[in-house]
Amino acid sequence: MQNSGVDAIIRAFPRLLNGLEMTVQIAAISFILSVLFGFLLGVLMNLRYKPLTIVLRLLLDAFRLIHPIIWLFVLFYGLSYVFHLSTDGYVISIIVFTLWGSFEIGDLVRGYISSLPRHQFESSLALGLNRRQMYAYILLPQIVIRTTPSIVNLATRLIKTTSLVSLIGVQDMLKISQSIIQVTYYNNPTSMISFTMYLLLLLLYFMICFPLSLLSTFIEKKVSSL
Amino acid sequence: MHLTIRNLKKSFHSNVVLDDINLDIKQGEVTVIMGRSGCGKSTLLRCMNGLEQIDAGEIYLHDTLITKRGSNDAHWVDIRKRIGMVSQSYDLFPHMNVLKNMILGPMKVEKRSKKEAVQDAVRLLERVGLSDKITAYPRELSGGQKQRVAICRALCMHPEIILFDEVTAALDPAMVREVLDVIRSLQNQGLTLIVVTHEMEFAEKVADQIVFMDNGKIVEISTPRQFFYSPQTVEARRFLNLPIDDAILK
Amino acid sequence: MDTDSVFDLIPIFARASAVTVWIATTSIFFAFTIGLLFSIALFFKTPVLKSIVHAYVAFFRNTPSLIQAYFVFYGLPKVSVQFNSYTCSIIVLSLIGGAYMSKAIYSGIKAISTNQLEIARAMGLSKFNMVVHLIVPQALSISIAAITNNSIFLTKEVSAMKIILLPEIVYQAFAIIGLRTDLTIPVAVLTVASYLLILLPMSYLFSRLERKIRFAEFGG
Repeated sequence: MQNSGVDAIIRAFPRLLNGLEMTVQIAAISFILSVLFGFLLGVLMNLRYKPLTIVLRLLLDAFRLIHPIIWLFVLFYGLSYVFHLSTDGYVISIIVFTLWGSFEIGDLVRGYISSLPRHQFESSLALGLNRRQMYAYILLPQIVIRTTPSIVNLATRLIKTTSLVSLIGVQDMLKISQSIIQVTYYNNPTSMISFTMYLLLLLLYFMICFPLSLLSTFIEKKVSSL
Repeated sequence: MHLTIRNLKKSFHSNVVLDDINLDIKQGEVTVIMGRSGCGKSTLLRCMNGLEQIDAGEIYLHDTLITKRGSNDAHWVDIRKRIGMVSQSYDLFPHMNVLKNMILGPMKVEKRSKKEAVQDAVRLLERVGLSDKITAYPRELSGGQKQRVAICRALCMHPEIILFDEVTAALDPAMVREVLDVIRSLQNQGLTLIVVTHEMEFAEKVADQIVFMDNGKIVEISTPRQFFYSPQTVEARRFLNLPIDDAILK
Repeated sequence: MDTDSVFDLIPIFARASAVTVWIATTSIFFAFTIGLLFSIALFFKTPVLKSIVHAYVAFFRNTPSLIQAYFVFYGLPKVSVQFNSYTCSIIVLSLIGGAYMSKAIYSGIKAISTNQLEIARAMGLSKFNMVVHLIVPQALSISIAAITNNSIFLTKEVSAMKIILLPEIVYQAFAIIGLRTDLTIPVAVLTVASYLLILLPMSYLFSRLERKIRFAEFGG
């Protein structure tokens, strides 16, 4: 097992953990911001104010149809070229994933609000609640409960997709693994480290994402039995 | 005897659903099975074509034992060609039009030619007054029409026996009649009909024998006349809301 | 930035788009086939196969496609399994897609009423005929929206195969900018335009297909 690369991985493990921290950080910040903006967008998309709806719809489709890899690339290189400033991959990543996540959640919330039976709106207004109170006390709690499974699912997708940030130079778990692989090769060209390392990465990602997927399914079952 | 049931037992876990059932069904007769919901009548029906496995006892079709232990699928396929079934929830295949619903079984199970199967289907639909619905999809039909098609679909297989499992239970009252009329028209055609239903008037007019079940047991087998006007057991009198006199209580 | 080189970019992007479309359609085909077979296996609760399918679906849904591709392209050759970037992309995308399609089609199967399958049994229909005439057509029309969504997802995901040197759209975009930063803007525009030219007609066709299939089944 001389060539398996396990020893190199063990030696570089602290660095790998730094990478993991970066991965989780980008995913977590984008996730929290996505939830906040997502709910806001969902409500905005339901306002039935035509110009706003159209603009948001176009943006939603843009984020749906264009892969985040292209957004990362366009913003990272495009902004630096146009404004002649050195763009920070970390900031760009958070911007892209936040936008992506916000529109995903926004559409979920919008879809859920528009599927609510009319009488809920009418009876809350009949109770004398104003629009803001209606959202706060009647609609929001329901939306939160119903959209939770999909939102947890989005967290899984965010974590998986953040591996793309390695392409714009962010030192995430993938990027650091690749530099470990390169150094090991340089010292030992017969090393099998790229096999071992990528396998380890697959397992690490699986260990993070699988429990989240189970959680999402679990919540979904709970919610559908409400 | 067309169908003979001896000492049949069936339980789900510890819950006994059918307890020592004995029943003889003559060829060409109409047997109506009645009882409160949950008395086991539907399960009994489903045992007759192997949709439920029985725990003990025997069922004979023309003196041939059909409930041998460990019977494989092929065995039940052969039996099910001879014993058709129509159930409460229509169960027409939603992605096929009326004609395709009807010819699927004849073509795939009985391997008949398409032409023959279509002719048969057309003839049957005519008989129940649905000739104009031949290319309609199930979603375009009313409940009563769906159920009539379901009956025709069972008839297409040329069974000897048809099991009707509460076929009118899910219908609007206005449509119950048209379905019952179709079942009635099958009487005296050599077909043996076994009908689970709550329709008393139908039972009284059409049945050759009434089987009354209570709590997983057959408590009374009699003619409609006797069953409806002088039932012999307390359970049947309760079911029919008749006064229970001391003579019977003993 | 000279206009000549901007026009020179167009054939490059046209070729790259062709690669994307070719890899996408092939992977969608295999993914669909895997999904169909595996969801039927799940329906029949085939003992060992069932656990394998569940593990496969869980694994591919919970790991990044980027790392799957790296593993197959750079990792597997270390154990003497080697593919070129085309084959590798098709393998990875088909397996990811297969996992998503299995889940989608299986939920379609689960949505078919059990009463209906029961009456099919009562009619004496064999398992094979039940699968061919009742289960597959209905499961597909129930899950058609998920199937088309997965197909669009797979088409987009072709761009992640840039990392294993597949000469698709994003790969070419990165390559050109690496040489000529002055072409950043036209390259960015052409990248987005290429994708829209592939995906917009695709999603239009899919939504028509969906409407047609759903209509046949459930009406307007």
